[in-house]
Amino acid sequence: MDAITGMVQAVASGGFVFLGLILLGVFVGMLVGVLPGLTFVIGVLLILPFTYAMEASQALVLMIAVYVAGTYGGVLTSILLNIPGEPNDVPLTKDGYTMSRQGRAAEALGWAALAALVGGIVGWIALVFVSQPFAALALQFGSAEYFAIILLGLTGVLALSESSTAKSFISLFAGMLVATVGIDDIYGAVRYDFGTDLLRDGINYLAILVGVYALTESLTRFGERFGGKVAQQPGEVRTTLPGLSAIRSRAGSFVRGTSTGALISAGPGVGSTVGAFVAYGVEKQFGRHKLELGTGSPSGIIAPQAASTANVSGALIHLLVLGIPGSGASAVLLGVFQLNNISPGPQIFGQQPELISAIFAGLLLSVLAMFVMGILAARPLIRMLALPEVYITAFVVLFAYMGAFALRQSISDVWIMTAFGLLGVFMVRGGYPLAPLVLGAILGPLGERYFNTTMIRTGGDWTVFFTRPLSAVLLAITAGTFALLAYRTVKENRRDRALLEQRIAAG
Amino acid sequence: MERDDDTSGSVAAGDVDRTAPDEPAGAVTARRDEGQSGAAASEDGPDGTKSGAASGEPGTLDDTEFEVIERRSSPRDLAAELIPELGLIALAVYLFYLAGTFQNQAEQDLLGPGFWPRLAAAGLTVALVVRIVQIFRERNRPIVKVHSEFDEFEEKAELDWGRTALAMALAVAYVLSTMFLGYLISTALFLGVFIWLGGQRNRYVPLVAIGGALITTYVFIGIVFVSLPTGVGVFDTVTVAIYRLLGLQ
Repeated sequence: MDAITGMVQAVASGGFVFLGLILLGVFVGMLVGVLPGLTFVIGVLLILPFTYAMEASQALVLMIAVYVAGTYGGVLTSILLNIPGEPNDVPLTKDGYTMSRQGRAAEALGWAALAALVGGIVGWIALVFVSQPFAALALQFGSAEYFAIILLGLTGVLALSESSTAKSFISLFAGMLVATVGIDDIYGAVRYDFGTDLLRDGINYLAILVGVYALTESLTRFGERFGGKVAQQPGEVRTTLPGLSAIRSRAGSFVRGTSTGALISAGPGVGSTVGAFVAYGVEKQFGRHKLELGTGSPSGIIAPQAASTANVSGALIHLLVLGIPGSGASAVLLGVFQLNNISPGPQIFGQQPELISAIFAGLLLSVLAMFVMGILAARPLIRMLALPEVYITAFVVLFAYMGAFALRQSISDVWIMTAFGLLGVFMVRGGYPLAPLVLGAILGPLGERYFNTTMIRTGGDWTVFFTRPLSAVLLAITAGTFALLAYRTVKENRRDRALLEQRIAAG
Repeated sequence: MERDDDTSGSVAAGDVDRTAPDEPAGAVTARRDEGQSGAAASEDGPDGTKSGAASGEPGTLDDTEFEVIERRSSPRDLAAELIPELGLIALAVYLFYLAGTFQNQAEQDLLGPGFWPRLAAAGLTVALVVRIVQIFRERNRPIVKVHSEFDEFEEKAELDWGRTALAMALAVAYVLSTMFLGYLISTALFLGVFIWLGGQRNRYVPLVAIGGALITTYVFIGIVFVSLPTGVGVFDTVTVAIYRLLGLQ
């Protein structure tokens, strides 16, 4: 009840500015979902420079609105044009576009909007009612536990990467190494500055994020001549919400999608895309309508969309309770906390209750606004596709410049951002995943801090990681994840060998 | 970087059910259905590729849709793949060595400031060595690409490296020019050139370029309070004059 009262107070004190920021954020989130070459991670990065003059609660609410709406905006192009707006829209595109071709586009859009609403609200309930007890538990965690959580997060990123394991490790260690540049906050040593002020001040991970996501994508799209599927304007854009009996018959898909999205987000570093794919897989395996999937089934839309939106809350729980970002977008949110000199973590619930209430209220209102705007603004949003992509890309480069510059009002950060943008192009084309690089740069310094703190506290006793029960369990899970990674690699190699042997047998 | 070469002799196992027209020559897509077995049959395609059905081990690879892509790496390809990895190894080893020279400013003297960077550098070196071994092992070995139902969404447009280099040069030139010409003038120039070279050559481009520069300048200075570079010499004078016209301090 206190949580609800706090949220009402947050909205009342924020007034029209609060509501206006939510509407703006939802619109931007949906727009980046629709526009080619933009993802919601890029969306929150691009809006970052606009938040520097805002209070922390306003900046966070705006970015959360972009984040949550970004998980939904892409369904419009996915369903109407067979072009997934975001990576997390890929699983629903198959059924969504098939429904569209069957003349059921309005129905498909209605299911997607409803799934996003249900996923968002269930996720919000989990956030409000799970985060506080979890925070109370997390207050008992020591640096050993935090180190174990970070190690698990880093391992999870490797396990989920679709690239080769060696390439993922290279990307991860490179990110960790880059993050050691600058003054070390425990020993006070200057590391890898090579006599330059630019490097002595350290490398802000937000500059890396802006570079490898926003600038890399812009440069690549320019190099691709903005090719790919050509977006045609659909004849009619309408959304029809399903009736109650139809909803009842698909209730299982809502439950499976939402619970998969919420549960899977418990793993640090697991974002909406993984949630959507896993939810689609679960639906295909266990769903009542599993045989329909791929032929224009609403269940093929509901499960991944509900999972995508529910996943946002999971990422926020990690961020607020542990201070560890659970996804690329929440890493940007962590940056906003840090720019406002606020450290997210279990203590924040006691120290900044107004901020927490504003975040809770902001998420709920964003989900509701996304649902309404998804229905009412689908047509004008789709019309934006008529804008040539080069205009959008040019402004993305501009905002990438600004996002990096405004971090410390320094051109040095812009150079760093640009360097990582160029590096990202080569990495992507060479098959090196970007996510481990980014997570290595974000989680690496946190891991170092908790590791060194543990060592200092225990006088260099390594066994503490294995003697503290929770730390030991987390390390065991990490070891299990590694084992799974090794098993998967061996299994894939065996499968490839078998296929090649068949080829040889065929002459 | 892996390279898919156009070579002869690519044969896929299973019943061939499609070969996509935009796939590289030498690639054959195949599908093996449950319990399928049968005689191998192959024929040379017009581009030197082979396609055909092969007998398999029933039950082991059911419903696996895959593609076998032949590769032949020339010494030049191998060098192109190895040089970045070898360069990175040299860098990682150097950074490992450098980490041993970090001065500890604190009283605690346990692991020291060099421990974590050394750990990362060592990890990077090991991963790179593994990658190099992979490059040698995978050399001339066909690639097996297993298809998924979402493959059509993973297809990327072809990258023109010349245009990519041009975009990179524009991005670098933009940052560099803001230091001398200032944000306002550089941004107008960058937007105009980028959009024009990006294929939009119409009368709206200068309008978008100048309007975009003015609006973003107003927003970032007047509302977000970011102190943007004003340039040097005459450019500084011009920029400040425009700021005044915009009512900016």
